[in-house]
Order: sequence, then structure tokens, then C-alpha cells
Amino acid sequence: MRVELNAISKTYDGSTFAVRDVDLTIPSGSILGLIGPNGAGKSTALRMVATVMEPTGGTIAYDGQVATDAASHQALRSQIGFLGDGNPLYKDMTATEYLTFFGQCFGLRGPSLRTKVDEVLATFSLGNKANARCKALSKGMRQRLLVARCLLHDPSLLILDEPADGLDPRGRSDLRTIVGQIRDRGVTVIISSHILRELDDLCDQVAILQQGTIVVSGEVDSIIERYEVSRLVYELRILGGLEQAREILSRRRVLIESEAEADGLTALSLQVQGDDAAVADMLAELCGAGVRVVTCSRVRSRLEDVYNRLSEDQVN
Amino acid sequence: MSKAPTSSTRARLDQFRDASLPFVTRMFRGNRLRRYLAVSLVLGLLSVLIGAWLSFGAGGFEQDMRRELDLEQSSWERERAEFTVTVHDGYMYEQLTAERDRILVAGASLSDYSMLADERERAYATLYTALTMGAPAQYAGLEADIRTLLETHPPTRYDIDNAQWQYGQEARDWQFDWYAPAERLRLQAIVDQELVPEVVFYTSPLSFADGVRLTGAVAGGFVVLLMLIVAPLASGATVAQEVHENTLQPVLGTRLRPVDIVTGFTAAGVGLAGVLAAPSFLVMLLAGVFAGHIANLVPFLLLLPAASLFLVLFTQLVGFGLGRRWSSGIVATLLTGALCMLMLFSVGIGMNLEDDMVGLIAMMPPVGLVHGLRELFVPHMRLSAAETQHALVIISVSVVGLSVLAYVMSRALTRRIEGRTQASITRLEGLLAAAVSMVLALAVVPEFDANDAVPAYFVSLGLVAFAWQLILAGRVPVGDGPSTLRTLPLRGIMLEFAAFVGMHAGLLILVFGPSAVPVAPMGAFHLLWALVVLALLAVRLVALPTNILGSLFAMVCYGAICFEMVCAGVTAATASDSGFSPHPFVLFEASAVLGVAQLVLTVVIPLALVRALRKGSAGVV
Repeated sequence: MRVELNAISKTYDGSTFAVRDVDLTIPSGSILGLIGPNGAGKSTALRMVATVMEPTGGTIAYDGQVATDAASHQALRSQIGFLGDGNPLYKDMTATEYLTFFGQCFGLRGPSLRTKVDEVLATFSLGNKANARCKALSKGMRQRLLVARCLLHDPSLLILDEPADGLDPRGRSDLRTIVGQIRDRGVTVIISSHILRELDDLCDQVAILQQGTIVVSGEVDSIIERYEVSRLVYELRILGGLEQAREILSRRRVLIESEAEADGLTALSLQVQGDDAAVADMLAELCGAGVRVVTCSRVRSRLEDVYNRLSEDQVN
Repeated sequence: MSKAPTSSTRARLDQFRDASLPFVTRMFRGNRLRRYLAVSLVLGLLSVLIGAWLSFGAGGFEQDMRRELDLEQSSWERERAEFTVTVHDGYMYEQLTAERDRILVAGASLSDYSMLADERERAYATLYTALTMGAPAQYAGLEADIRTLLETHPPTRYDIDNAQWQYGQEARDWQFDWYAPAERLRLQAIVDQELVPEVVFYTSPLSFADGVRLTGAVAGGFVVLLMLIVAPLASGATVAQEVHENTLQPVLGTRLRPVDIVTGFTAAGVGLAGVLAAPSFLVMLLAGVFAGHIANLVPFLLLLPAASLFLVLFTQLVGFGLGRRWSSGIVATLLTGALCMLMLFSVGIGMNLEDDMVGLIAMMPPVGLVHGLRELFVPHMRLSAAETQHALVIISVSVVGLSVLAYVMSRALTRRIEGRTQASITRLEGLLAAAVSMVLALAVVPEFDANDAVPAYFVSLGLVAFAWQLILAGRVPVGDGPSTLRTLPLRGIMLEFAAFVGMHAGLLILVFGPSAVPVAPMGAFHLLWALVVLALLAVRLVALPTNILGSLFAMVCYGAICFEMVCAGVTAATASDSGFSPHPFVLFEASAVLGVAQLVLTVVIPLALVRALRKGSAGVV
């Protein structure tokens, strides 16, 4: 489903705008990451796209059609899976009962409903908790259940507001895999987060929202190029050969942001100009010159650099 | 041949099923359905057991209950008429029977402290009282028998020559009516039993058919309680919980429309009560068909769903309104208290409905149900034939009225759940609800006598004022946006309110005639002021956020409205009395300070309300 937001605005108090004049086009089958600090207007924008909140101004077109009345919104909701911000659960229901309830709300019945419930439980590794009450689930499991609920009716537009909230690293990794798989099925995904690393490798497009307005939007690569963020930030930990390392890094025009001692190792924070190949070459040279490299890991994504350049807000 | 349902009917049924299924499934999830079925069977069984116990139990409580329901005579009346001593205790029965046998067979004398001796003394008193009063000619034979009995069995307590005087002394307070059949029956029994009372071991006098009727009444009581307390409570508390915990938002993101969600909440609440009530309902139905006054079943069966639906939707609206601030536990407690109070009053009134109270059925539907249940199983015949017909008419009006109000409330709730900036009800719905509530309020008026026009107007106005305020509140646009963004159609709302007031006054003029309208300009001024402030206050409370100061001001306004209503009523009622003309601002008659305060408040209150509405909204049109 292709989604177009045209000058969408929302105000709650008549004077300040939660969302103001937002224009966005999300191609069918792509993943849009909506980035912004808490209170930037992400949840409001997503609610409007999910048709559960009326914009104060502007229109939203779904596959070129603008939904104007309640009936068209209703028809649209059959194609939208929406996980809102801070979505609560019915605590006394089991995971299966919860999914069955929402499956029925989406018009699923009988064996197809049971099959679908089993399928999403398995997808989100909740099979062994199928009969556990929601209040007995861990926060991560609850979050997985909430996301699972949005996929019951095979939506063509999936809207996830802070879906990784409460998920452990493994859960986040699984979520990324699942969202990728959903995109591969042709589903358009809009995902919001204030944790940029979650979205870095996942999104086709990003939009950065600050104080209700879009400050930048487009394809990830083009944004990075536009803001000249062609560097990668790494942490290099070495056991010995610091002088040789400094000399090589200087020659390769690698900027050393900081130097620190930790656990008997020297940790260097490096800004590397270029792509991953440049980093591989640098590491090969360091090792060849006798520098005793213990680890080398990326510590900051390019999106974070873009974001930091655009804003003074420190995000994660 | 039955007509096949049209496609639109089928589509509506499908929609109803689709809307209800998730909520009903949720209500009966897991093993809850099994548990509810078990409870319902226990309730059904309990209704039979309680019915049988109340019908045939020999204990004092059961006897009192049967007495309260006019199903049997009191022991005292029975003992007096049949000249018996009734005992509930087996040992006492044996003792008294043995004593009686000793008297009858062995000719022994009675112990002074025996119950039989007491009863015999009362018998002597009755006989001498009857002789003292003198028998009419047609009962001369019985009088002669009494004299013979007293000669053969003279009293031992008093000397024979003084006995008539002594017992006559006591008879001064008693009186004796020779023309009362029950009294003559007693004389005959005393004569026949030769002054020795019969000892009777108490058993229920009810027949099997009576037992079936009483069982049906108990089962019907369970059904009424479940449909009028459990169903509204379940629905209201569920809505409050959904609103309080914000779980409604994900449901709104599904295929279900807001109207489907309201349908689902309603179906789940009614479904729960329905499952719990099913066996009791069956018992009631069977008892009604086999032993009840079957004609009374129809109005009961029409009123029950209408009243239940009305309360279910009303509690949902309450739950939606209060759930934002209070948890479902608090809301459920409030609802339980209110519903139980309503049922308590309804049982008290409905069980003993008098002629001039029939109209209460219109304002308190449970009264009609309790009355209907009583008429179905144990009619007390207190109502005249005309009032019985009147009650049927009012029940019919209530069924239609409650259904219309339930529909309007469902529309209001749907729009509130939808969350868009709009009024909860349309102008037409408001007019419809106002007209219905007006008719229901007028039904309470016992008599439409021309002299009672003023009281009838003010009583019905007082009853309908609360409903009109709710309707006006429903006409104010609200939504997720701030009040400062909304333009208030105040002129339109006030005109609609004027239409309500006009309809009410017009209908009463139609009923009582134009000559019944009092000429009281000051009364009209007081009334107009009270009505305008009532309407402005309803709009103010919904349109703008309220703080503690605002709540206090609202309370002052309500107090002023009540005061002005009373002033209007008194002025109108005394309009024809030329010697009585109260001051336009009546508090001047008490003191100048109070009078000035009244004058100031009369000016300030409406102005303050209009100013607040102008200031707190985007504009007033």
C-alpha cells in the first residue's frame, strides 16, 4: 500500500501543534523509519495514518485514495495493522485468548482464526506461553504479543510505534528479521523509534521529526550522502603497538576522537572516512605492522551522525 | 408460510453477529462459560427450592412471607374464626392434645396457665360480649345455643352472677358484630366444640398450584435481578475498564466500527445475564404457563428486555464518562449501589402498588416488572380494574419510550467512542428523547384534573429536567481537541431547549385546557430564568473543563434553579388568590441584604455562564 501524507497537522490545544504540515510519501512495500525524540509527534502522526485520529488539517491518501468518511476509514482498517504507543493488554486473558479476540475483531473465524493464531504465536516464539495470562508474561513477551496481534489479519500496511520498547537485544534482532520478512511480502511498514540503531540497517526510508515537523526525509543512503556523513565511528582495542597504530591511522587520515585505558587495553575511538572496505584495509595494515588488535567494533551509525548534526537532542 | 428474511435483514444479523462475537467470546472465554452455566443451574435449582420452602415450609418466617403476600390468613385470624390453638412445635402439640383429651374424656379441669385455658377465657368473653350486644332476630337460635352452653359450662374465673358483667366490662373495648360472618363462625365453632379449643399442628395451607406460582415468582425475581443489575453492571464496568486502561484504542484500530463496539459491549453484558438467568427464566415461564395468570406474562416479557437494554446502555454511558477518572472497581461499586437502591425501591413500591402510584412505572421501569411479576403469580387485587388497564397502558408506553431512549443512548455512546469532534446526539435524536422523557414524566401524574394543572406542570417539569439536561449536554460538540478550538452553537441549543419547554407546556395546555394556565407574569419570569440557567449550565458543564471553583459555582446555580422553580410554582399556584402577592424577589421579605443578594445572583449567574462559554470556546454562535 502506498501512503501519501499531504500537509498533515494536528493540534490539541489550538496554539501548539503536535504535528505540523507533514508531507511524506511512502512507496508500497518499503519500510519507513520515523525518527525523533520523545514528544516529537511520532505517535500522533502514526495514529493519524492508522485512521484512529482525525487530523486537524491535511489529507492522507492510501493507494491514491483519500479516506474522508467513517465508512472508508473502516474499510481501510482491515488493511492496516497498528501497534500504538503504550498499548495495554487485557491482563486476565491468555495470549491465545487475546489473539483470538483481536482476530475476531478483524473478522477471522473458525479454523482459519485458530491457524493464524498458532502461526503468529510460533512466529514470535510465544508457542510455549500460549495459555499463560498476559499479566504473567515478561515485558518483552508482552511486546511481542502486541506486535503479533497486528499481523493476524495479513495487513498491507503495518504501523509500529516504538515496537522494540522492552525487547532484549535478541528480541530486537528477531523483530528486525520479522519486519524484514514482512516487507519482503510486499507489506508497507512504518516504524517509529527514538533508538536510531534499531532502524539503521532496516529502513529503506527515514523521516526525522522534530517538534512536529519533518526536518529531513528520504532514502537512507541519499540522506547520508546529503549530510556528508561518509564516515564510520569504531572503537579499536589494542594490547600493544600504540605508536605504530597512531602513525598508520594518521597516514590513512583516520581521526582519533579519543584514547582511553580500560582493562589493560588501549581503546581508541576512530572516525573512518569511507566504507567498510576502508576499515578492512586499515585493520589489515595495523595487524601487518605488528599492532596487537584485540577487537574492532562499530559504535555509532551514520544515521546517528545525521541526527546529531541536525539536532542538539541526544538520542540514546 | 413464513417470509424469508430480506438481504438487508440478513446483512444486519450478520453485522450483529460479527460485532457481538469477539465480546461475547471474551466474556465466556476459557472455562468461564462452564462456570456461568453451573451458577445458572444452581440459581434455577435455588429458585425451585426457595419457592417450595416458602410455599410449604411450616416455620414462622415462611408463614410471615405467605401472610405478606396475602396467600394465607394470619394464625390469629384463623384461630379466632375456627376456635383453635395453632402450634408449630411437636412437643407442645403433644402436651396440648393430651390436655384436651383429658378434658374431653376424663372431664378434668383446665390448668390456669394453659394455652387452652386462655383460649377458653377468650371464648367466654366472645360469648358474653355477643349476648351483651344482643342478637338480631334471625340469629336467635344461635343466641339460645350460647345461653344453653353457658348454663352447662359456666365460667370458673368469675362468679356466675357476675360473669356477664365482668366479661361485658372487657367487651367494651372489643365490640361484637353479629352481622360479620367471621364472628358468627367463631360463635358457632365455640358452641360446637363446647368451649374446648381444637389443637392444630401448623402446616402451610397452600396447594401444589400455589407452590408452583410462588416458585415462578421467586424464579422471576432472579431473572429481574440478573437482567436489571448484573447485565448493566457487567456492561458499565467493562466500558469503564476499557476507558480507564486505554484498551479501547487497539480495538478501534480493527475492522469493528464504534457502533459494533457498543453492540459488542451490550451483547456481552446481556449475554452474561442471559446465561445466568436461563434456567430461572424457564422455571418462571413454565410456572406462568401452568399456574400463573398467563395474560400478565406478555407485558412482563415486553418490559423486561426494554428496561434491561435501557439500563445496560445507561451504565455504559456512565462507565464511559467516569472511567476516564476512576478505575472500573470504583465505577462498579457506584453502579452496584445505585442499581441495588433502584431495585430496593422498586420492590417496595411494585409489591404494593396502589391506584395513584401506577404512573411511577413510567419513571421506574423495575416497579413495572415487580408489579408484573406479582400480577402474574400472586395478584393482590389492590388495583381497580381501571387502574389495571392504566398500568398496562403505562407499561406499553414505557416499553416504547425505553427502547427509544436506549437507541438514542447507543448513538451517543457510539459517537463518544468514535472520538471525533461532534455532538453526541443529533438535533432529531435530542427532540425524540426530550419528547419521550416528557411523556414518561407526564405519565407519573395520577390525575389530570383542571385544578391540578399547576402542580402537574411543575412535578412533571421537575422530573423531566434532569433528562433534558442530559439531552442538552449531548448536543454540545466535544472531542479530542481543546474547547478553545470549538465553536459552540449556543443559539441553536437554546432554541432546541425552548422547543422542549414549548412541547411540554403545549401538551399540558392541550390536556387541561387554556383556562387552566394561571396569569402570573412574575411566576413566568422566575420559571424562564430557571430554565435558561438550567440549559446554560448543562452546556457549560460539558463544553468547558471544570475545576473545583467551577463545580462550586455549578452547585450554587443548581441551588438557585431549585429556589426559582419553587418561587415560580408558588407564584403560579397563588395567582388566583388576589389577597396574596409575593415580592418579585421574595428574599426582600426576609431581609434587604438577602433580597439584594437574590437580585445580584439573578443578574450575575446567567451573565457569568454566557461569559465563560464565550471565553472558553472559539466562539458562540
